[in-house]
Amino acid sequence: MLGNMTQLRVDGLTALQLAELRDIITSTAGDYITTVDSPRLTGGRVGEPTLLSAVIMLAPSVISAIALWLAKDKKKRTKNLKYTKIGPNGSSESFEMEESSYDEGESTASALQAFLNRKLGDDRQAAG
Amino acid sequence: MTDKRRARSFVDPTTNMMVVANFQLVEYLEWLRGRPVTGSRVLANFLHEWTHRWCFSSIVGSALALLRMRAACREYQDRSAFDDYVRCMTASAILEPIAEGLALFAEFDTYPGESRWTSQTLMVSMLLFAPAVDGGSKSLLPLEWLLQAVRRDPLLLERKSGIYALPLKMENPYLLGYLSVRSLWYQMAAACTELNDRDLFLSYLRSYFYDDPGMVICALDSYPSEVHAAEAIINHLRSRIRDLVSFDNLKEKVQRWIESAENGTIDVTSIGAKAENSDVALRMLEAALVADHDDENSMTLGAWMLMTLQERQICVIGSTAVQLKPHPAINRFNIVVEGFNEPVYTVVEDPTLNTGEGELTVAASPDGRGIVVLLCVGKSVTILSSFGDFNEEDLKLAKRLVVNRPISMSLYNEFREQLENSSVVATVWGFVEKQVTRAMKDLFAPLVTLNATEADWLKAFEALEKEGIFGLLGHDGELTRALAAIGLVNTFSTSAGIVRVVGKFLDVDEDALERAMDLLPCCGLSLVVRKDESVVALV
Repeated sequence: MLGNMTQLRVDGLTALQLAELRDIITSTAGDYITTVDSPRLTGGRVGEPTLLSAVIMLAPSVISAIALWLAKDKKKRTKNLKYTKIGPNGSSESFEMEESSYDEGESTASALQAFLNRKLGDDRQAAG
Repeated sequence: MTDKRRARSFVDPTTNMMVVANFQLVEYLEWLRGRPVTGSRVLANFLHEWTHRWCFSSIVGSALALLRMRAACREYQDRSAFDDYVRCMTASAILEPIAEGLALFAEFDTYPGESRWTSQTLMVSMLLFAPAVDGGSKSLLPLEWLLQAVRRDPLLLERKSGIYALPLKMENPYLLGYLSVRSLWYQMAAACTELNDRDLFLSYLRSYFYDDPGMVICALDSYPSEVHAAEAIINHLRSRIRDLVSFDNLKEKVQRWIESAENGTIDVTSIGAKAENSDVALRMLEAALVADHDDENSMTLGAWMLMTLQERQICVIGSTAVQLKPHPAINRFNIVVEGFNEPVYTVVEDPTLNTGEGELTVAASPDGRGIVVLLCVGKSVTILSSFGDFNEEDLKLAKRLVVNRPISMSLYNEFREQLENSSVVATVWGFVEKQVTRAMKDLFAPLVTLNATEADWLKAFEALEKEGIFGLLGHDGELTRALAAIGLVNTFSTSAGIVRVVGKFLDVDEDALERAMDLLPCCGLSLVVRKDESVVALV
């Protein structure tokens, strides 16, 4: 079932951003973050902390939670994140979360939700 | 400014090769011509990575590099490699939280203090990145300006608060190391006021662990098995940490350490090591280097190890491929980087340079007091410019490094891959690693919780293990950021008023900042000390 769902991959998260995103998704939808990618340096190398990637199974309630998470970020700390929609057949489509792409005169949360529904909602499984 | 959209910076402890992500050599050389007043996009990463390099550029770093190279050479020759590998990996693993803690402390906390001492990290940062402004009697003023700009960057705050949300795991050295070093700083500064100077503290702590001849002896000594070797290394670090947190004669030791460091040779008794162990450690290093010299092949590999140990002292800051094009008017070559119209340098025409292609390298001297720009064409190396203090011997070494680097690196990578793919080595280390991980918890749990009460430290540690400081703060992201922000501002001020002002630059939530400044201990762990209008973050 889960394998047939559309997913959203978010790249460039700090551990704190991921923790906040996880909290908000878990409290409104359930545990929909399936994978967290945190590559280690190989060969004994040491270096700066890596940024994280999360893969989120999509459902209507999850999209609402992501919209809420983005709307709560008044300081635009999430502006450099990268988003990729991964279809059930493995197809992928990257998109930006520019303010201009969702500012339609609605409240930020509604505008974000409408934008995400357009970007992610068309072929998702109605699992939420 | 720090930049989130980039590859990852790192240092290889064996070759001490440093990669600072997004360091643009051509852009940097252009800036260098006039040193205008601009912030540095890569300074935060540079502070972190150079501190790693500085740690590994030590007797302990050299011993571990030698063990790893010797293990690789032994594997290459179908000899038994796992003993060397286990020793190197054990010491590297238990020291990794210290290495990361020091690097994060350099990135988030270090700043010129009241003592006359300046760390290598700050000295080289000054040489490489400080703008050409007259600081008058305060020679480090340009550096202070640069560091303040870095610590006011909201992206640095996001990076620091990200570390606070990591669960405290032994296999993740960042929070473990940073909390250990921060806790040590607060406790050691309480025992020795000179260590309120964060840059002096960074230097002393780095020296305490990496200039320690006792660790070299432990890593290279004879044991019945690799498991015994691992135990000896762990026990040595345990005893060193115990001595450190006893704070016995700390003030007098720090004073002696400064005096010896200023003279160029650390008095190892000032870091609690035995004076006679320095010679023993050096002799053991020399013996380890030639231990396998029993045929021609081994001697060739031994020569490669010696060459790498020497060349790893030089730091390549950045390099790029260049083309040499005849100047249209005068007898000189223009040195051109692909994608840029203007030549980065010109050089006098010379038959040895007439191949059309070469490599441009910016390298730092072993102590970071000198920088040189080198053009390498085939085996010919030309100095294009230099600044600071780069002595003749080190210059020769730098020239040799840029010529040898392509072959030396490819050899090293081939050896390294073969070693890491060895099933025997992986199996033996897999067994020992479990014991090392268990021991690390015993070593670091008391350090991380030095600022907790005696009755509560275990409870605090268990809470940190689950969800880091973010968990301790009840999953309050804004409070977590506010706490991290106080620490960044503390770099140059403990005034609550300044914290509020800089908090605006850092985009910190005002309400969260007020709550953070009045935080009570969580699970018995003190996170902030507030006294009237003074506020100090302890994590």
